[in-house]
Order: sequence, then C-alpha cells, then structure tokens
Amino acid sequence: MNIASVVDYAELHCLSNFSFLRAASHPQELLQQAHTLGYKALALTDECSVAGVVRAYQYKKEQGLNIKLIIGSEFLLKPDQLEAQESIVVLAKNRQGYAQLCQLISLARQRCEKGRYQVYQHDFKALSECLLIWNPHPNSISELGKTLSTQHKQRLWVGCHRRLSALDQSLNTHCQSMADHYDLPIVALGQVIMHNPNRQMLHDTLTAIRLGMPVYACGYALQANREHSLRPLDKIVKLYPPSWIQASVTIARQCDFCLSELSYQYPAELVPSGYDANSYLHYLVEQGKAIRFPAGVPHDIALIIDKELSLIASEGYAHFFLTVYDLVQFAKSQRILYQGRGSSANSVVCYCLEITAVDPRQIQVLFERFISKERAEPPDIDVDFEHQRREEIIQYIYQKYGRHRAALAATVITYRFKSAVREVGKALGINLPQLELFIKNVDRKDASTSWHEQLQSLGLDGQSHVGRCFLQLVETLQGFPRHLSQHVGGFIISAGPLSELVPIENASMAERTVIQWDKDDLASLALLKVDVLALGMLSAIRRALHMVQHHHGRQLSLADITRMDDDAKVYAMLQQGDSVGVFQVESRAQMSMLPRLQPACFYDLVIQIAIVRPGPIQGDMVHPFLRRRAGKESIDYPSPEVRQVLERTLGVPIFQEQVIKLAMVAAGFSGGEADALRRAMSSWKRHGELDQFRHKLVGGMVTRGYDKAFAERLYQQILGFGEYGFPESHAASFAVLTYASAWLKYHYPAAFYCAILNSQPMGFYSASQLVQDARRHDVQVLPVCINHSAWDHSLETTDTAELAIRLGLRQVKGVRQGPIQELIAQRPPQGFQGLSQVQALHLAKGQLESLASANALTCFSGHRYQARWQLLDNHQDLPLLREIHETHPEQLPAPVALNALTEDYASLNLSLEHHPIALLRHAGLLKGCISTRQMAHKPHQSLVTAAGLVTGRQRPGTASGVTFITLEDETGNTNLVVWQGTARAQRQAYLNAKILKVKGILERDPDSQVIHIIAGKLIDCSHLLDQLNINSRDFH
Amino acid sequence: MQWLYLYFPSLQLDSLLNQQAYHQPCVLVDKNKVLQANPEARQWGIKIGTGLAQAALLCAQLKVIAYDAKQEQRLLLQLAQRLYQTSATLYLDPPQGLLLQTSDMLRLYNGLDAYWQQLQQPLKERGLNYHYASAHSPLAAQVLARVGNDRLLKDQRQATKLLSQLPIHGAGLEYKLALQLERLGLNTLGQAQALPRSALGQRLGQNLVTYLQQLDTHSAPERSAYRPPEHFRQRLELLYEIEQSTALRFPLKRLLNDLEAFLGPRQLRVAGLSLGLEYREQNAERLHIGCSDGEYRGEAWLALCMLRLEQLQLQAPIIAISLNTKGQMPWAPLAAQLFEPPGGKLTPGQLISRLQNKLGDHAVQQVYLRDDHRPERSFYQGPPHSHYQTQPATIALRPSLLFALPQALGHKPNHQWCILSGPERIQSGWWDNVSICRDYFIARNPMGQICWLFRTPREEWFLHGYFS
Repeated sequence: MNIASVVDYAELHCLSNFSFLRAASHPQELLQQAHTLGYKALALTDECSVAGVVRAYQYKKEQGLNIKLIIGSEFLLKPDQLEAQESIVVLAKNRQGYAQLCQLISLARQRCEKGRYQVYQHDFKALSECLLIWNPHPNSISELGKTLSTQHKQRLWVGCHRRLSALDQSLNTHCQSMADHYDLPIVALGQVIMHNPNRQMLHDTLTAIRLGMPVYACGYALQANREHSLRPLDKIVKLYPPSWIQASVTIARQCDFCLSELSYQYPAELVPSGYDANSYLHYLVEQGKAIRFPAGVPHDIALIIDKELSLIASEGYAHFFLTVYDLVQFAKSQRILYQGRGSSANSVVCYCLEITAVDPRQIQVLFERFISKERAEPPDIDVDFEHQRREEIIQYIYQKYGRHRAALAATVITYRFKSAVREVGKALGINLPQLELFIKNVDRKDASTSWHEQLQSLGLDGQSHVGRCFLQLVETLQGFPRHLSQHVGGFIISAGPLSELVPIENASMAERTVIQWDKDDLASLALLKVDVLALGMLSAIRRALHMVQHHHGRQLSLADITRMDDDAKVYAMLQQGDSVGVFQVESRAQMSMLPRLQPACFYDLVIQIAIVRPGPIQGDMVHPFLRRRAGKESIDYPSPEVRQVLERTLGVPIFQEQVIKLAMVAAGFSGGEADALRRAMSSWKRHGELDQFRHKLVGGMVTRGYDKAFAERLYQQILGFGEYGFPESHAASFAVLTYASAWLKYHYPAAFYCAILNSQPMGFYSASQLVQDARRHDVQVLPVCINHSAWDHSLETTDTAELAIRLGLRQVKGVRQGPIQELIAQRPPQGFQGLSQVQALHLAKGQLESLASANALTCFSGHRYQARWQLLDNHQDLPLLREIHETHPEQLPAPVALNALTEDYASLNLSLEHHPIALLRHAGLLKGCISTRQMAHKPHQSLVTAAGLVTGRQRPGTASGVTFITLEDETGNTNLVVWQGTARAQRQAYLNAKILKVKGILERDPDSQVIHIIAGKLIDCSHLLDQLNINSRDFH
Repeated sequence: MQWLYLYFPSLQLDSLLNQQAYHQPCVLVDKNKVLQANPEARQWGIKIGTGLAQAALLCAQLKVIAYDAKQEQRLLLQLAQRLYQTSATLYLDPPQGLLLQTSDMLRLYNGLDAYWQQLQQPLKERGLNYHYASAHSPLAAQVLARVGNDRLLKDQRQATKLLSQLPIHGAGLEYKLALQLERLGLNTLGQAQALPRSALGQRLGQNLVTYLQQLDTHSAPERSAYRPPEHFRQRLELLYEIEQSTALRFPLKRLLNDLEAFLGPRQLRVAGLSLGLEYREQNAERLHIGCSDGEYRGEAWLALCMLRLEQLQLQAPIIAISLNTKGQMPWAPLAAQLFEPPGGKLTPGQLISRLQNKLGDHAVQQVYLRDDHRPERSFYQGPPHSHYQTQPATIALRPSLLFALPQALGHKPNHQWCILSGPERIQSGWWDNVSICRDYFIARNPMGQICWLFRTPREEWFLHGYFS
C-alpha cells in the first residue's frame, strides 16, 4: 500500500510502562517503533506522570531519531477505576505549558499518599499553554465536556479511538455527538499501551498482577485483541476519517516544547549583595587558602586554583559549588563530620572551601580528573555525613529552601529476577511454594548455567506451553519499572518553584517529597543534584576525635590528620593486615590483600581501596599489578599517551577514569562518546549496552597502531570492570577516612574501638569481634555494671592509670534508651547500694531483668540468676512486703561457665569471660585441634585440624564457586577456603554448622605470610554447644 | 487413671505420601519454614524449622508442598473415628495429638500391651509416624509423647522421674515461659519443680503453677471427649421377600419415617440417602438418592426414592433394606413465598433433584457464564446448582444460537449479504494455548437471517451463530 507514504499521523495518547502495570513497553521502545512506522510525532502521556519522558528524550538524542517527542500526561477523574470512563490528555505546547502540566501533576499527586493521585475538573483551568484532548465515554456522562469546552475553547479536541471492539460503534457515535454538542473538532487516537502487538501476552500478565489474580481468571479485564499497539499507517488510514488524522498532525505541530529547554537557576540567596556568584566564590577560596595553607600557597597549587576557577566560571558552575559550600558550613557549625567526594570534590577549590580534606599535595596526580570541558560531564560532588546525624542536614535543606524548591531525586524500582519470577508465576497460576523454591534455588552468580536452565533443572517444564510462556515473560518483565522510591540522598534545589521543572510527589516516608525523575534522568538533562549521604565511619571518627580531645587534651580535625606527614607506623600496622574497624580495608578480602600490597603512602591506600573490588578482580588487574609492584614483571607502554594515563598504576588500569581516558587517547573517542561509555559501563550488566562500543574501541585502537591483542584485552578489562569499576575521585576521598581511622586505631586504640562500638551497626564486624580485637590490642574492656556504665560505651581510667573501655548499657539486649538514661540520671554519685534502691525507681520491669541477665547487677546479688529471681518477685513492688521477702529469698545455684556464656551471648551478644571454643577445648572436646595462634608456627602445606565459630560465609561472585568461611576461636580468626566440590560433598556441615571442625591443608603466601586453610573434611560440631545463640552473617 | 497420648509429628505429610508411595525428599512448608519432612529429606540435613531457602540449598530436588491446617484437622478427626472402634474414651488434641483414656480398656483387652497392639494396627495401615507415651495424667502423657518417649509407663514414679529430667524447652511450656525459666538457670523441669510453687507463681505467673499441677492431675481434661458423628443408619429385615421394586414402598416408608423422627428433633436435614438392597444370594446393591436442597421429611424422600425404584428391575428377591444418610446439614425452612400458587410447590432445587432422579445425575446440566473473550469459552456446562447466576456478564451483542463448531462458509459473503456491523476483532487466549484470532461481523444473509460471521487471518469465513 502506498497510502502509508502519503498520510501524516501523530500518536497523541500513548502510555509507557511508567504508567505502572497498565502498559507493556518501555518509553524507548515506543519511540523507536513510532519512528520506524513513520509517525510524525509521539506524545508520551503516562497517567499523571512524566517519569518516563527523559528516557525517551535521551534515546531520541542518542539514536538521532527524526520524530517529534511530545510531553503530556493522561488524567482520570476516578483513577481507581480504569475501565469505562472518560479521560483527559494534556499536552505541553511550550515551556510554560510544560510548567503548568508539572504543576498539575504535582498538585494531583500531593493530594494523596505515595503512588496515587486525585484531579478535579476545576484543576484543568490553569492549563492556558497546553492542548487538551477529552476522551468521552458513553458510560460516564459528566459535566467535564461542558467545563473543558468553556475553559479551553480553542485548545480542546474530542479524542476518539478504534480498537476493533464491539463497542467501537457506540463510542464513535457518542464522540460524534459530543463533538457536535460542544462544537469541537475530533482527533484520532490510538490509546497505545504497547509498542508491538506481541506484547499482548505481557500486557495480560501485567493486568493479572494489577488485579492480583491469575490471567485465566481475569476474563473481560484483559484486552480482547492487540489493537492497543502502535499500528502501521495504512491501517490508521483505514480506521479513521482523514480529518481526524489531520487533526493529530495539527495538534502535534502546535506542540513545540523540548526537554532541552529545561535549565534551572540555582538559589540566589547564597550570594551576598555586592558579589556575583563567581566573585563570591573567588572570595571564599581566598579565605580558604589562608586556612588550608597557613604557610602560603605553593606556586604550582596556586596555578591550579586559578585554572579551576576560570573553568568553573566559564561553565557556570559557581552556584553549584556555593550550594555545597553552604551545606558543609552548616554541618561544620553543628559539629557534624562530613567529607566530600566525586570528580569535582578533589579539586583544590573544594579543599579550600573545606568540602574535602584531601590534601592536594598528597595526590597531585588527580587533578586532571577535575571537570573536563571536553567531556561535557557535569561536576559531581557527593557529601557524606555522619550516619546518625544526616537527617539534620536534610531538615536544614528543607528549612532553608522550602519544600517547593528542594526535593529528593527518585529511584525507579524495577522488576528484578526474583520479583519477576514471583509475579509472573502467580499470574500463570503456579503455586507459591514452588515459586519460592525457584527463587531460592537459582544462583544468579552462576555464569555457567543460565537461569532458564537452572529453572528447568528445578522442575520447570520448559517445553510445556506454560513453561515457555513463563520463561519468556520473566525475561521481558525484568527491568520494567514497578514504582518510584526516594533516592538515598540526591537533592535537587532550585531558585524558583521546583514543580515548574518536574512534578513532585509524596514519598512513602512521611514529610518527604520526591521528584518524578531519577539521577540518570537528571544527568541526561544536565541538572545538578547534591548528594547528601550517610556514612557510619564519619560518626565513629567524630566520636573518636571527641574522646581524644576529652581524655588526651588533643584537638584534631580530619584535615589535621591528613596534613601530617604519612605515619610509617600506621602503615606498618596496615601492612600486617591489622585492620579490623579501619574504613574500607577491613573486609576479609581487603585484609588479605594488605600484606601483599604493602601500602606505604596515601596514594597506595587510594589504589588499595579501588583494587579489591569485583571490577578489577574480574578484569584480572590485581595479579599483574602485584607482580609489577614486586618488580617481578616489566612494565611497557605501547605509547607515550597510554603511559601518561597508566603510569601511576604501573600500566594496569585500575580506576574508572583511566578506562575513559584510555578510550579517548588510544581509541579516539570524543568527549561525548567517552561520557556515553562511562554511563554504559555503570549499567551494562542490566542493559548490555557495552557491545556497541566494542567495534569503536578495538577498531579505533588498531587504526592508531595499537596491537589488536592489547585492544581486545582492554575491552575485556572494561567488561570485567562493568558497574563495579571504582572511580579514583571517590577512592581518594575514602582514603582520607581510611588513613584517619587507621591513624586513630594505631595511636588511640581505646578511643577508636569505643567510638566504633558506639556507632554500631556499621562496618563488617560485630561488637563481639570488635571487643576481641580490642583486647588483642591490649585494650582492657570492662563489663557492664549498673553503677559504672553509661548508656554509651565510655572510656574509664583504671587503677593502673590506663584507659579502658567500659561497656555501655546500650549493649544489653532488650533495654530502651529512655528508661536507662532515667536510671543513670537517678544514680547516686557513690552508686546504688542495693537492689531495692534500684527497684524503688519503678523502672519498667523488663528493663531491670535484662540488666540482671547481662550481669549488670552482680554488685548486689552475687550472680545473674539470683538477681533475676529477686526482681521477678511481684511482691517486691509492695514496700511493706519487700523487707520480709528480701530476708529469705530462695538461693538459686550460680551459673556454670557454659551457662554464663550462653547468658552473655543471649543478653550482650558477646562475652568477656569465656569463648565457646575455649570452653570446648578445656572440656577436651576438641582434641587434636590447634588454635589460630598456633597456626602461625605451622609450615606451609602442613595438615592441620582446627575448629571455630562460623562468623561468616562469603561467596564472592568474583571467585568462581569458592566460599570463604571465617572461623573464630579464642585466639583469632582463620580463613577457610572451601572449593565448590568440597562444599557440595559435605553440604550439610558446610551450610548448617555454627561450630565447624575442619581438616585441611595450611597454605602460607610466601610474600605476605598470609595464612589460610584449604578445607578438606568439614565436621559440624554445633551440637556441642547448640544452645549458643550465635548467628553467623551468612552470605552477605 | 491411666492415659495414653499419641503424637503424629507429620500427619499431613505421612497421609499424602502413603497414598502415592513417594520416595523423594519432600517437605511441608508454612510461612517459608519446614514444618514436616520425610526421612529422605532429613537425610539431606533438612530439619523441622529449617528455612525454605536453606532447605533448597541443602537439596535442590526437594519437593515442596504447602501445609494445610484444615486438612490436618480432618485427618485427625478421621483417625479418631477409626480409633474409636478400639478405644471408648478419647480426646482430640489438634493439630497432631490424640489422648486416650486407657484404664477402662485394660480389662477388655487384658492389659496395656495387648490393647496397644490393637491400637497400632490402624496407625501402621496408614503409614503414620507417631510417638506415644502412657502416664498417670493427660499432661504427663502428652509431654512425654511429644519428646518421643515411646514407652508405656505403668508406674507413676517412673514417669515423674523422666519428666523431671526433661530440658525446660522440651516440657511443652509456652516458649516465653520456658525462656524465663531458663534465664533463671532452671534448665530442667525438675529444677523448677524443686522450688516452692508459691514462689514460682509469685514470679512467673499462675500458668506455670497450673501446668505443674496438671502434670499430676489424673482426671480427664475439661474439654469433652470425642463423639462419633451421629448419622442415621438403619437396616430393616423384611418379613417377606419382595420381587417388585414398587412393593418396597411400605417397608421403605417405615424406614423413612424413622429417618424423619431422627432428623426432626435434631433439626437436621440430609442431602442424600444411600439405600441398600440386600438380595438373598447376591451381593447387596446400593442406590444413591439425592436432594440438593436437603430434606428431612419422610414423605418427600419417599417420592424421590420411588422415582428411582420405578425404573429399577430387581435382579433377585430382596430380603432386607438399609438406609444411610449422606450430607447432613442443619435444617432451615426454605424461603416460602406468601402467594405461592397451589400447584407450584417445587423449588428449583426440588425440580432439579426430581429430574436427576428420573433421568440420572449426568443428564441434567446447567449453563454457566464465564468471563472470557473467546465465544466458545464464555460459557460452560456443569452440574446444576439451585441458585441462578444473575448477572449475564456479556460485553457486547452475542447471538442467541451459537454453534458448538463454527461452520465453514466456503466463500466470502457476496453482495447478497449485508454486513450490519463489525469487525469486532477477538485475539486472545495465549495462556491456555487455545488462542484465537478472528474478526467477527454481524450480517444479514440472502435469506434475511441475522448471522454471526467471522473471518480468520487466512481469509476463511465461518458462520458461528444466529441472532434471534
């Protein structure tokens, strides 16, 4: 048919999967299909939402599609009832119309709880710069037509669609009569909910999920046919009168808004009068120089500052820096510890603005990374704050800018494998236990067997009709958005009302609002956001610094610690792998890498942080780096350009920035392409977008005279890097905290451990493990005591004038802060004298019992059982009877060691008196087992038997099939390497054991002396102490 | 008094597996926790309380079945019914226990061991795993059975001693209470028993004291003992042999009168009767007569029975008849209409029953509507139900006569046909693999009939029905 080429048509009513569970295609798919079919324009009109438009816009830009993208939205007066009612489609004519649309959406959304909305007829009145399409429905006769036609006489059309249903005729007649009655033109619509008819199956499934019933029971709620898709033009011509089709193009022509017009003004109030943003920034930097470089700014650094400032001015980013500056100034005034990171954070400007404490003299090498003009990449500053006080910063932002000018970015929650299996399974009527079994049994890390195959080996009949549908649907549903959630801390702040830029809706958390776009959307439109993040280590460091000041009289800040020269003793400690509690390098993998990498300066820490990541490990970068560092392998660079990029990491790409830079210098990527590569890298696992770069990368390098093998290796490294590649700019900021925490651990161990304990939960280790480590570092730890402990853990000077940690009552399970603070406030200076004195305070009864079990009342009652027994007596509440009873209480037997241990773990999660393994050893139950300490003296390759508490099972995706089990005994921790075969053969012991005995071969790395045991025989010994309530952290 | 407690830790699973002889690892799961596991699953290290995820890791070939509390309750009831034949006084202890009073039975069976032999038989037949214990008090027997004592203790001192050695968490106490005791260092029941009860009560509450008392309470539990279901069952030996089925009317009437006398005072009705005809030399024959509304009046049942008997050719002379009831339900007067015409006393339910009895159960069917876009699947036939489906859930005009199989038209409708409306495209049904893709039209044929036509994607035309 040739008509197709003659007719022009624009689809003006089209939903994407951002109208959750109502439509079955991604915005990109819709736009691509509309383009392929030759449509003039496509209006994306999700239900009361513009959440999907940026994706479509970005796609259009990337693919260079020649089709107009119109931004609009669909509204239902009764959103709960989808079928058989009229709807209104609002299309933005221009920038102002877009603002009106966003405000309408914001209004409708903020009337309701998260995920819902409500519009009224009079809401549409304000849409003077929008075009409206009213879709009447014979079943719902309302005043809407009248209201709209008076409000929007020249901007209103009646929309009519044909979906080849039995009701087409009555709808048609009704639309015609409405059009006649109100004297309105009619426009043809498709009411599109999928880009391709083949998505009917998925759409039916989404309907079933929405209704919460199996597909076969959904009946007439399903679409009768596939006509709600984007249809070829020749079909459109057959279905609608020419004037209706023409109307669609007329409307499309009037809509001239493009998302590229969006830009936003930073809040103006940050700049005092007499300054503009740039001059004020200049002024602040000058002031900062005096603080940061009291001895004067070195010449080379002064040059960098000038260069940075002029770049900031030319790109117009001054406001962004001022916004972040304002936040950290507030944090500083409130004594909230913070640290900036990100590409721009490591600039000298940020150092002078006190946004970071990364001393530029230590990492000069980083400066090329600062915002680069050629890369068109917006500046990126994330600020981490103490995790327990971040809320204060958030409240400050809301207070300063108001809720109409500041909101959190959204996070689009999508269907992942598990949720897709569960929902599709339910829709197909597969029983729930079976689905749970599927979900729990499929190992997504198993690269050798696809999940399709795994499901089939679990009993899914992949050949059956249902089985085939299931596999296909699960595949397609993954990546579909489910709902919007709030981003962890990405704020967008604007000068004017934010709702003119993007709709704002309620988050599930009370008093939180989120915009309808996520961080990628914001990045696509070059809108800047400020990340206000929470970091536990900052809380711990602040507490430690406070204690150092209090007990040692030494006042320190983060910058003070980094400004001092690298402390060799601190590095010596790290080189031993002695890093429990130290930021970023305390994990099992980091700990075993420390003795190999032997970090000796700040930049070594930056590398250490970035290298023990799945990215570099999968990309096989670790071993070459280690060999080269040890001087066992020569380093050669194929060109001076490559040398310049890779020299600081000995020729091995370790950081994300290096990969990007390599693509530019070696493969000739333009700035824009390199930025696209960066984005693709961060999400390729999900979308597989990296393939498109292969040809360009490898080809580009070969053309420039590089060896093909080198090019391929680089591409493979990029693949391995994937989303796990770590940017140098973040690693550098983290390294500040790594060094500061290590420095504190070495110089002020008591304060360090005490601070970490008070900041729990955080980090890798439990309170029990931290306390054991502290004691191994000769820090005395004193038990909880009603007369000595505070709520927090605290430092106490002992008789020998040493600082010891006194465990706080917060460690006791089952107590609440309020009542305990009350108890401490009432405590006489010389302490309570007897139980009755404590009871007279009438604390909630359970609180005292918990203290009794934690042995905090031993000063009165001898032992915990007796204390509890006395507390439980309800006659004690009567003052007259108290005396009588207290004279003759029954005497309960004191706990034996095992019972005391059980009670300790049950009420404190740790024990100062006993270790279970020590008890077993003492009882002669672990004959032949050597302790961790004894292992240090065993030769390489010797056969050993050991036993310990299983405190961790870890199966990293990077180590194919290997599980690392951490065994704890009374002398330390041992790493167990369990090969897949061993684990399979001894599955029960491997999975179930809380106390594990192992026979295996001790291996010692000749360079680093790191020891681990290759497990042979695994024996579950949990029964020896099975009432011990210790939960290992399984597979975290 | 002496008590025996039977504990069935995997009642539902055992019953399921016994029917099918399944020997693969299999578990019953509730809220993602394993509740019951067969020995094959246990061999893989799966225990009661293991999380489903852990169980799946331990054994990938695991068969998982959802736990059904109601089903287990039914099984327990059936078991009680069976054991009632050997044991006169028994109590249900749902979901998995039965308590039997043994003292009265010992004389009948000549001692505990012989009695126990009798009891075990039905348990073995059903392939049930069980634990048991006998003791002086119901609670003692229960506690000991649940920890798998599996002994018939005849001496109270023996039981008391065993009880005192029980770990506190295995003593059948409420978990919180057991925990409180444990946290006082009272790790065995004996240690708790050793303390003065008043001191315990003062601290840990009356429940504990009651529990300790009940351990020694010999008397029966307060709840009522199991009673077999009260079904009507009667047999009537005939005074003379009957050779004509219609001649059964009078003896049958006597039985049915008794039935009415049985049901009336209990305010019950029954939905079906099983009429046994015993021949002199042949095996007995059973007739099933139903009345779906339920009925208790002898007169009404007689009419239904006679309808059936009239068709019956007796194979031999009958010497006795018997009557059992099925589907007992509480009596409720049918919604009688005030101005009912005198002749029309049949309710729809009665009419259906009468038709079924006349024509056979399968001869009477009812048409039901179903929500489905596909015309062939938008209705179905099923056993009749006395209440109507009121809402005809049609979405569009549908013909009153729909062919079971569409008839090929063999050609495209020519100019003599007049298309009145359409197309209505129906393309649906992927989920049960009976997809259709058709364009339906309403058209007038040359004979002036209004037809329902459809066209397939291959341009084949079919006639699917006529409009009236």
